[in-house]
Amino acid sequence: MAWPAEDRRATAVPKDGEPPLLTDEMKKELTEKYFPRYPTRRAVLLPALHMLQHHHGWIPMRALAEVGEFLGISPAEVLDTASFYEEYWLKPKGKYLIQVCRSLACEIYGSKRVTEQIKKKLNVECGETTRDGKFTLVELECLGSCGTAPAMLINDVLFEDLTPQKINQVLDGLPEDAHKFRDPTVDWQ
Amino acid sequence: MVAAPVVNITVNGKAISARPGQTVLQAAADAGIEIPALCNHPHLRPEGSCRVCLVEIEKQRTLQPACTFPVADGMVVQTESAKAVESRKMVLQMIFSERSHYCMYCQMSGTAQSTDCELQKLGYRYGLNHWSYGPNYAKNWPIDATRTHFVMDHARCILCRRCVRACQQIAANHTLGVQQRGFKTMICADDNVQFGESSCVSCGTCLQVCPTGALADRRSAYRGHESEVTRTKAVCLGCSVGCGIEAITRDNQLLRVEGDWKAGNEGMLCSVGRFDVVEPKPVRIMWPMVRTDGRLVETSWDKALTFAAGKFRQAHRVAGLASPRLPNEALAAFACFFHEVLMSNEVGLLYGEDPPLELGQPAVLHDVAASDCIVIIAGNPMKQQKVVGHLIKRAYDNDARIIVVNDRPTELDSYAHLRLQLQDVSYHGESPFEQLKNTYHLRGTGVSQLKAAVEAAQRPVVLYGGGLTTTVYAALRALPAKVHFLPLINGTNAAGAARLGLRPRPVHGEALYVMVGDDLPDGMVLPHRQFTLVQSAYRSAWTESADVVLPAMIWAEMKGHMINIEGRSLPVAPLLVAPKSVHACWETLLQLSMRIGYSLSFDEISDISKAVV
Amino acid sequence: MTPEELSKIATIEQEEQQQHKHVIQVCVAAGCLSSHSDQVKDALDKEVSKRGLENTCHVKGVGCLGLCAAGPLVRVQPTAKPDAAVMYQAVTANDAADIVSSLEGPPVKRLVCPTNVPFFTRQKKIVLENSGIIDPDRIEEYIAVNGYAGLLQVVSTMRPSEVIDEVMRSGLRGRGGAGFSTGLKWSTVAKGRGSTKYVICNADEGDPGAFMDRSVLESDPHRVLEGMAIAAYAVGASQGYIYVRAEYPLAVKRLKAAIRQAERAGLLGNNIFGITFNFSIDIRLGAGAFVCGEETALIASIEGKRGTPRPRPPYPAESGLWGCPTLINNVETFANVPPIIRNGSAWFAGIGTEKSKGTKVFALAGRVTNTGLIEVPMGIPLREIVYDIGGGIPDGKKLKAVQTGGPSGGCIPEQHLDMPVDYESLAKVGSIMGSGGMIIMDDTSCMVDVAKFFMEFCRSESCGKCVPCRVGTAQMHDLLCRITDGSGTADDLTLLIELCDVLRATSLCGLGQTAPNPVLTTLQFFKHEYDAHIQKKTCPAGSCTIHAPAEVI
Repeated sequence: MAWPAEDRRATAVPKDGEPPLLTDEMKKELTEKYFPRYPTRRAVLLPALHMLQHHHGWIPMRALAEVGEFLGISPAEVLDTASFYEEYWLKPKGKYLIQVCRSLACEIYGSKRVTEQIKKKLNVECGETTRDGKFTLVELECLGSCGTAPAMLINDVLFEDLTPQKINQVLDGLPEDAHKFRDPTVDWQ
Repeated sequence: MVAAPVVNITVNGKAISARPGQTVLQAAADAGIEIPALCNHPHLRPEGSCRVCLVEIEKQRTLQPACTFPVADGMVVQTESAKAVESRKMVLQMIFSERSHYCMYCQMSGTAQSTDCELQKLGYRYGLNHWSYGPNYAKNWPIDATRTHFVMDHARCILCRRCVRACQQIAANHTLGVQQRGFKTMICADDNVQFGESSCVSCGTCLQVCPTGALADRRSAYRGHESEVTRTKAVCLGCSVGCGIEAITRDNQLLRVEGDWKAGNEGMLCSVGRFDVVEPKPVRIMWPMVRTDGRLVETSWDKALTFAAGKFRQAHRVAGLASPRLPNEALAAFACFFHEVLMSNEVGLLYGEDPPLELGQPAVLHDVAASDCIVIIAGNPMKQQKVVGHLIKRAYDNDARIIVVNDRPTELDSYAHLRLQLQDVSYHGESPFEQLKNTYHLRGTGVSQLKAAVEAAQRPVVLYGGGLTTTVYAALRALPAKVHFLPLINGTNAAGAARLGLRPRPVHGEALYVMVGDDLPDGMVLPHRQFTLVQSAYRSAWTESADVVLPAMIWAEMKGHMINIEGRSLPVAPLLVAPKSVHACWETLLQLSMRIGYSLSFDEISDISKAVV
Repeated sequence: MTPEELSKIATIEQEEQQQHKHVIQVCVAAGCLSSHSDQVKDALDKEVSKRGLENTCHVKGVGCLGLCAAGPLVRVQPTAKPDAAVMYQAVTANDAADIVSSLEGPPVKRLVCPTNVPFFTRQKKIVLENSGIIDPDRIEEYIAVNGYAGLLQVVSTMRPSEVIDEVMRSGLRGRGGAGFSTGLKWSTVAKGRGSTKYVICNADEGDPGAFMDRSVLESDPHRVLEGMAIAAYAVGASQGYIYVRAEYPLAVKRLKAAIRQAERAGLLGNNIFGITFNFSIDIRLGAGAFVCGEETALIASIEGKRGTPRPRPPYPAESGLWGCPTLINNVETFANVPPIIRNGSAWFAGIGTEKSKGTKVFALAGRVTNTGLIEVPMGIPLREIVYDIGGGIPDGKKLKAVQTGGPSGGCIPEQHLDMPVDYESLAKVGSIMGSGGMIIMDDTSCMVDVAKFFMEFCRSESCGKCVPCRVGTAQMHDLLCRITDGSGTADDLTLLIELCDVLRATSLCGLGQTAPNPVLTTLQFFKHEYDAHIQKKTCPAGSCTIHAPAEVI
């Protein structure tokens, strides 16, 4: 019988000879900032994955291999950890990641209607990316904004007290260049 | 000496003395009480995930997993109380319902008495004849059939992670892992590649620990339940490590080989010992053959032996080469035949390498795995003594320092904390100037680095290959006394052969007797002589160049002893009965000696081989 | 940092604050920030400088003021008369001029948010005492309100064992869910073997409907650092980690700034207050896994592995992070420590009930008029929280249930509303305190759907290690889906109850063991809703879409 499981490497890895995804600067930062904080290299795996995701928007398979090599962890163990956490994207995602809270408080205040509106407007289902690669829509667990439900995150920016009307306003107002869209209060570095 | 403290516990009303630090499951097992468990395996670190071993422990609010719960004095345990059994049944139902366990198609499946599946066995034991939960087999669970020797069927996987833990903790190969989480959890290889394309080295440890039919051996599947086969403890003759094996045979056929958990290799085997031995072999030689009109023609033993004896009598000098795969007894008879019958000293080994043995305290295999500093000088254990290579990697995982001294690249280089050249640890030099340089500079750094690393360690082990200069050996001898040494011998029984004075060497004589047993040329060409007798189990390039070919036993038919890298004498027990027309080597030699005119006695041979041990 | 320096900073800061006649506090916690309170603050700043009032009026960003639903919130406080402060709600940048104009006169009426209402008067603030008062980005302000005095007191006058005794006597119990005695936990870690020990602050707040920890970290981060440092001194640890959800970027930012400031001030690092006590704290970002709130899973995650729990014993207090004794407490637990040290254990033990001491912060959400963050003394009747503090149910609807404890908790019906809120009482009705999420539901919520909602949560958050949780949550979710879409049978219900018992009895960690709670409590109090779905094929709340037609008899 044939093997029907997807071969992720084939879909994700760019051709050989391309520059490393885990850049020298990242390695330097990991070495200088993170290694001294922990007694093992393995402990730096999550920060390294965060860093890759922040830099590339998602974590290609090749990057997992590079991290594994850098930290001395086997590919299986890197995937073991990376695929466990919901936050790590092992598939490409849109420039704008829309995360709608599906928590109970938000549901009571109509988060479903909000999600439906986004689906309709962007013509995508949850977990999908629009054809132009601009938006990815997902639902996630509580954002801790229950007092001002329903809430959603677009990249790092929190939107609250949402209504279907407000959705149109927010989505239409997003700049073409996602890098210009940053919450001034958030600092990841 | 103070007696080890004892922890007294009661299991199912029976008083048991346990050792501190033991788990409830271990203590019960020692007392002969079996607590059912699926994720637990005596040779893997427990993780308490299958929840089948949950037992009732007095004063504990909830049921506790016996496989992880430590014993404490006065503990009262009920393993089969109504509560424990009820929850165990429910958990078993859950496991059955999770994936498509269509037992009737599985090679492990059988009756209550004959099943080899640990899950099914528990199903019978607890009287499960159905499960109430919604079935989940609608999902198309993949089957990975990309590996040569075994198949992974995810539908039969119960996610006990024994395979993953075996790959990490025993083989230290880290190929297998788990991906995703919750109900999406699946076993995967590397970064989710096909098993066949992964970094798997086919050690097969995962296969040996799988409790269900999820990992299936291609060769032995459907060829007999455990109750129908014979399981014999034996020694692997694949290389000089001499791993303990359990051979699974039926109807005089070798179906499968498993690692012996109680032997020095602790259950681990390499692809050679586990899989290659059951792979199809070249054509077996059943009868003697004599070259007639340029062709090898089958003939009777008597004719072939008489013909060969005549040739040997005529020859001025007869040379002999033996395979180091042969047991001591065969090698002893061979050497004796040359010395006593043919009056020739031109006898040696086909190939092999046996480094000097007395560099210091000898190490056993377990010392390697438990070491905190391993020095590998020459040799390439990942290639030549694979199981030792895995033991080194296991030690590396436990933070041992690895030092590789070699002029050529080896598979262990990427693990090395320190990489040195052979000349760095040598007193030797070609010119006085070189010698001076080595003595004062290179040697100074190399040897002192080596010394410092070894001195800082508590359980240092030095693994060394052959063919080194005496000055390197001298440097090794000078290391601190706490170092244990393990020679990286090439050639399965080269150590035994060496004790008989048989070493690889060029031999002279116009007639040549090559005793290869079940060895195969692998590209090696025999020296050309006027007359060549090859005694071999299989047809090969060697037999094709011979004038007379005699049949030989294969390893699984031979009886005797071998000496492994630890210097231990290991019994080679016959697992299979040889074909009627194939005889033991010593028997052939006795017959041959009679025809030459000097009757060698069986006692003489056995005296020599006994002296080896 | 010396004790003298600490008090000097406090004095200077206090004097500086006294110079201003008014202080305008603008909430810049995530709730108000998302409705652009930063623009409000900018507008106020501009307005003040336009009028040349910089020396008499100080505009500052502060942490959560509590009433998140009415944000952005602004509080104007005359320095001389703090009690005469005025709170404004739903402020926009356009209101800045009016607010500044009113400083010397009557307040801007259209914006006033009454503070003499139960929402404010019934609360008792210990953990949140500085929230909405101080600027979380300035360590000086924290020091000016007695910040780090507890740490000073501890390292200069108390032995570690005395600190543990003090915490033990206070009766403080873990605020993360299970309610284990904090003092007992500390003493176990203190007794632990080896010289390397760790203190971990669990800020992986994952319960749906809970945002207390986020608010504390955003509004008063130094309080948590001080609590951790006191704990580290007591148990003998020199390294701390704060494991915080990556979904809380603002909290992370404030924490980072706070750690930097504390290090610069010598309140973290080596030789704190000149004695041989070293303690540093690092932030560790989570990556979206609810189960990492479980302590052994959290440890695995810090170690760089998948966040799966392991069986206990050994407990982390004996063998935790990298095998070393490890103290794990939740944000709110640590936040309670400095006031306990400063005011004494007797003071703390005087608040609350016999077995549940002190206060509890709740995140009030759902169908209630005043949603937001509240802190109440333990033992307060649930009714008071819902109707007095919460302001009752809006739109004339009727209360159906109060959900506490998130996916591990339960739904408490109207008839139990007079029960006191403490660990034991909540457990009695099948729920738990949890980390403090409290979701109010009116009669438009279907209880079966709520149970399904939480089961979906548990199913997708189950780590997949142990069989009962991995298989059981999926099976229970399937059954609940069948019931809510009208195809459920009476047998399904029996099976559901059976599964509840198995999960409870056999799961490896708290996630699986408590996953049945929402089902069990809704079954206990709202069985008729299940029956309606199964027998009559109707949803009483009208929220489920029933596909199967009613059975023809």
